[in-house]
Amino acid sequence: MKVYLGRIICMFIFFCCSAFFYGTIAPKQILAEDEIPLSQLESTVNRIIDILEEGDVEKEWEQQKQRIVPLIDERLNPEVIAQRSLGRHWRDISDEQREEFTSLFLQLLKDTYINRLRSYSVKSDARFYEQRKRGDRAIVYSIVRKDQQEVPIDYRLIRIDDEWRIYDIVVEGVSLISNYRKQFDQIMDRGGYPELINRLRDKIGTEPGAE
Amino acid sequence: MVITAKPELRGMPVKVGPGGGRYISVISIFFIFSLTLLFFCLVSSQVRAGEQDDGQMSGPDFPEYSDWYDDFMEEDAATIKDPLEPANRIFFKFNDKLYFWFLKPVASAYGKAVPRDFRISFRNCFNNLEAPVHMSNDFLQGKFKDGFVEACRFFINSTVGILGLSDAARDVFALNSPGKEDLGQTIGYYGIGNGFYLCWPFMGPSTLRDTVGMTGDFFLRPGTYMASTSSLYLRGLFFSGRYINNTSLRIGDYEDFLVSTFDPYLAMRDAYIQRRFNMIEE
Repeated sequence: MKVYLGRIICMFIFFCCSAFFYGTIAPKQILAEDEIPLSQLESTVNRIIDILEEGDVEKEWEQQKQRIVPLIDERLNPEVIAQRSLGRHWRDISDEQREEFTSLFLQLLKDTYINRLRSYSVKSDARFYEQRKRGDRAIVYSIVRKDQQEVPIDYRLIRIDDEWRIYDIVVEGVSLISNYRKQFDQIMDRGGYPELINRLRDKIGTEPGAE
Repeated sequence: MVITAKPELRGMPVKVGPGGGRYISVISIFFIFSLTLLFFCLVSSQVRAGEQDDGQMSGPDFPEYSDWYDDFMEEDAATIKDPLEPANRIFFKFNDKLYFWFLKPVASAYGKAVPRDFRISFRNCFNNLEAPVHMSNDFLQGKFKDGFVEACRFFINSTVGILGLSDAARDVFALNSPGKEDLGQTIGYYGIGNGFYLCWPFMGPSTLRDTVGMTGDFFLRPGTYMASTSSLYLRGLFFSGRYINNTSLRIGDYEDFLVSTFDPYLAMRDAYIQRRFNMIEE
């Protein structure tokens, strides 16, 4: 029995040492020399977090929301978001329709996801750790930790006049815009553009959390 | 399956007796059946290879779109056939009702009774029990370093982490899980396609390939071979415990998902396929 115990302890020490060794060499932060997309995004997120932490989210939400919306507006690229979410249908609709769709879809996105900040900001912590850049496009990788679980969130950005703007968010490998595109594709195939606009208006009309 | 469960329910000693033997043989028949399915999956994925690109948003026809074409990632590489859509939609509806009528009330009541930190620890514990599955699949894919990390994590968390209740490997030794590999991913890693989409009652979104993987993973869990867990009754208790505990930590997520989607079934299918595609790529 004693022999076994000795072996187990030896194995344990071996495992701990190797684990510790691995832990010290592995998590290196690799950053490109030009970190502008990452730092721009990070500063926007930090400013939003500051606003949320300033006051009581429950009481002052409406007021906080009014300050958050412009921050998000300047970090989004509505045209690319709308165009990508419609995919091949984008070229079939007129300029007015494009404008109409863009404003409705952006409103829907903002309504849905800004309201989520209310609950998601609590006790979660975001870390931006890497960016990849090619030409005027970039991906910034981040990890959000909540309840001891880590969720990878990637932001895809495009440069417009030296400002990097988000055109897609990928959560756990799922592209938000691509997901909407699949749904819009079906709506467009079945009911065409008028149906799409009706569905968008319906969604915007419903209160978040009404379901 | 019901007949074989009877001896245990009557309170007989839970050992590999005649009942247990039959239970195992039912599983092995299912496993052979799954292998046949896998073969079918392989054949269908080869057939699919020829017809995959439906010409969506690529090529010179869409100059305006390709201006914004994302060269970091192939768009819509993750598509799926869904020949059983009517049945899948019924099961999706079933899962939806299951959540709102049963799971959510039970999990919220449980969540009120048990402090959040405890529930997180329980979830860690359940996750830790999956480590052998991740490790085996790392090795099956030739990712020996990752497999070694998973082995270390399992060892540390089961001992220092007190039966996996805390993720000591991550918090103390900075050993993060290198990617939770399962058999579905391993099969995908060797180039076999999804087959088609399936939405199971209780278990939710899956595909033909991942269902085969799920069955195989069952045999990679140490618990499968332990006499004390061979009882269907105990096993059921374990799975429902895990289900309710983990659900209690993400109440609200599904509601948010419903609010933000136009066709939840379609959105969930696409999200699942995208996520799996990405997990296999990594």
